[in-house]
Amino acid sequence: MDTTGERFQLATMVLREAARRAPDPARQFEDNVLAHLDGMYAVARRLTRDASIAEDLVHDATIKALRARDQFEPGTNIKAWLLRILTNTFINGYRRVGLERSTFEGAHETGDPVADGWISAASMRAMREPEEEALRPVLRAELSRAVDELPDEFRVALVLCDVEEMSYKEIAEAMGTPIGTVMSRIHRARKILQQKLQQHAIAAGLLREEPDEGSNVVPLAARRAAR
Amino acid sequence: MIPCRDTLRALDAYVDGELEPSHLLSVEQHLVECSSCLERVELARAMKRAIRNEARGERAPSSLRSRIAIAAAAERAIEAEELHPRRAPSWRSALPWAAAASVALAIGGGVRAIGDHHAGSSPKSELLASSASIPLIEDLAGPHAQPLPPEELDPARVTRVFSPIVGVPVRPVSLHHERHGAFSFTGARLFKVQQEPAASLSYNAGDRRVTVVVFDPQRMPKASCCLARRTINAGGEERTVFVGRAKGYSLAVYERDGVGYAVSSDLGENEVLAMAADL
Ligand SMILES: [Zn+2]
Repeated sequence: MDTTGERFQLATMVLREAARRAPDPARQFEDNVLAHLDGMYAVARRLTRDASIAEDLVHDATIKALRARDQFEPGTNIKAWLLRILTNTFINGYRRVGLERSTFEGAHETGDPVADGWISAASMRAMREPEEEALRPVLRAELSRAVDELPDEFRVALVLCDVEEMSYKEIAEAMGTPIGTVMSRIHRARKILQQKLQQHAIAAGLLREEPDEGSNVVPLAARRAAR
Repeated sequence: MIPCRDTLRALDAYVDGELEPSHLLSVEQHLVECSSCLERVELARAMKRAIRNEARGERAPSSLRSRIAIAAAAERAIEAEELHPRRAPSWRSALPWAAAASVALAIGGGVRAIGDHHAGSSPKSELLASSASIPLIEDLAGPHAQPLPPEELDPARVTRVFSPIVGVPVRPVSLHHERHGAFSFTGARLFKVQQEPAASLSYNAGDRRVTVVVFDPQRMPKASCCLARRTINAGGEERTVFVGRAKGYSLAVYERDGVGYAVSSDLGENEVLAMAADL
């Protein structure tokens, strides 16, 4: 006799029976929540940088959301609401786990985001595919790595913005910060990413570094063309 | 022409479609005149697109879907029970059955020690296999090495919700240590051991932590080769316990009445062993 199988079947039967008798609104709400699992997982994956921790995070956030059904206002954006719960769960419980390397409070907010890390127009152009809006393929893997290395607070803001296209207001609500902070985090994050891409592009031979000041990086392609 | 400096801060908002209409015009005007800022915008857009495309390729694994579906069904069942305590099915109804299964196992093998091979049990259910065993003890020590926030704090709910999922009774019990005193239960969560659901129960006394993993040994295919076999006296009965270290923590694994337990702690092996005897 396969006791495990039988036991499991029994549990499944009980669950099914429970599901059948459960009131409809709960069921509908659950369906609405589960429809966003992929999106939540995609964000969780970028936030946690680890597949199995991402699963735990999505699981926890989903259960929290189901329990907080009464707090959801029908007609509002359920995905933004779910991502807010996910972000909160991440900020409050998951950052201590594993690979974190920054604090959420401040530290990285200082410095003039405008002045440092100037990159010339030609260099920026060289990092894209010619005549296209896409990043050069060799830089895409590097970008992904660079996103993983961002300080938590920058990564959260950028991922919510770029992956899920949440508004600054929604991100501010999710992170519990003013909109201005969200803007500066996103700005700072992109700045860091651009600098890392530039370094990688130089290492990969896409750009050449020149010793003098200012526009010190000239694309190789442009130099070849000039020859 | 507006200087770049005044535009730079607005470029991210522009790329993200967050710029107010009043500001939009002056930024667009600047972009017509300034190729440098235009490049900045194009690069930011290219990066944004690359980040989105990569993340959007991610799909929630089916194991996660089923894990959440089970947990969601349990949530619904609890809610139904709380709303209609009489009509709705009770988790308790599933438990006596699990208990009965445990009794059957006990009759089959006496007090079956972990890893004892005995007639009637499939090789799959044998805990102490010889090979490929490290993932199991690493999994068992996982919740202690990487603690995550608890899903459930209420011991009664832990038993009610987790037992049907794990497949064996999950009961937070009192833990005691002669030197550190009573350990209090701080919460439980579900996780996976070798793709099968298991429960981890967390306890602490001061800054000392103990994690008890409860699992269904019948569902766990692999074994613990790297642990030493000990026989201890647990309340008058002999119990075989496997002791060792995993992920930097002491670990004691044993089976009782068809339920698998793994106790991990930053305490020493002998102390973990003593706790296993108490459980
Ligand atoms: Zn400009």
